Amino acid sequence: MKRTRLQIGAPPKGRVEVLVYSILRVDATPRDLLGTLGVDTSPTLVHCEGFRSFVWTGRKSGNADLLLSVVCGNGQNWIESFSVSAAGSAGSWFRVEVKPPKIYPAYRFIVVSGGAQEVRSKLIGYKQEVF
Amino acid sequence: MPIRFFKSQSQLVDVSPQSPLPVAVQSQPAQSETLLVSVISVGSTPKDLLDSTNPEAPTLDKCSAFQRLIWMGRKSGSADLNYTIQGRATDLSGNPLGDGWFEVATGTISGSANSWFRVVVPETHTGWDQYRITISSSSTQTVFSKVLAR
Repeated sequence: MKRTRLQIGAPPKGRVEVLVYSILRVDATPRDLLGTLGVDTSPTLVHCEGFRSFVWTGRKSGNADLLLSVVCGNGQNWIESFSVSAAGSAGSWFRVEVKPPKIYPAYRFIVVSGGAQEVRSKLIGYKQEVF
Repeated sequence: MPIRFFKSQSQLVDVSPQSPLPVAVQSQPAQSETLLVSVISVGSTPKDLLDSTNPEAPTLDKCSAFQRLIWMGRKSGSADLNYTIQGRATDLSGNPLGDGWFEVATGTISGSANSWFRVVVPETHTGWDQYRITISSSSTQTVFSKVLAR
């Protein structure tokens, strides 16, 4: 039998960027994907004008749901926010689409969990309308 | 009467040589890449398109930039093919963030012997770095596969 995996080079550049990769211990205290505490503090990402949407993927170690709050603004002022959640048993993977209502220069991605757990996650940004 | 349009979110301007109407390129062909070509013998034991029964082995890697996967092929027998498509993310070194997989899709491919099939993983299910595509069949048959991405 013949089997060939041809895709060995880099995938197409420019449309998608890996923006954050993090390993976080999360609990009921709001903290962003970079681990900084608080809600209305420094942005997780800046210079995001080119991104239309994001996908947050990862693996959670506990059973509690994850709540991802996305605060949008220009870096100095936060203008609006919305939330998405990721459910699943301990050790399960999750995928959450994050589509801001408008394009903003800066975002703060804040995670909370009802129970303490480790979250290994990755945030990728899409430069065009995807979903 | 001048034609006006929003040049930015807050700037309404008249169409002029200095401020032409924006256009979107509509006829640009979509770029796609062939990720995998395989011919495997499939029976009741689930295996991936690379003939691996190791549940942790990825079938496809470095895929996060692709927004759509298209799996097409041909089955030699008349038995249904049961398939599962799984995905997971990797760290900056390319290692999975953990064991196991996220189930992207599952289904059954029906068709007579020597018929063709096509399965699409749409934009709303992609974004993973690695994918594992496994298939099984109640009776042994040969499955020819090709996976495209764009």
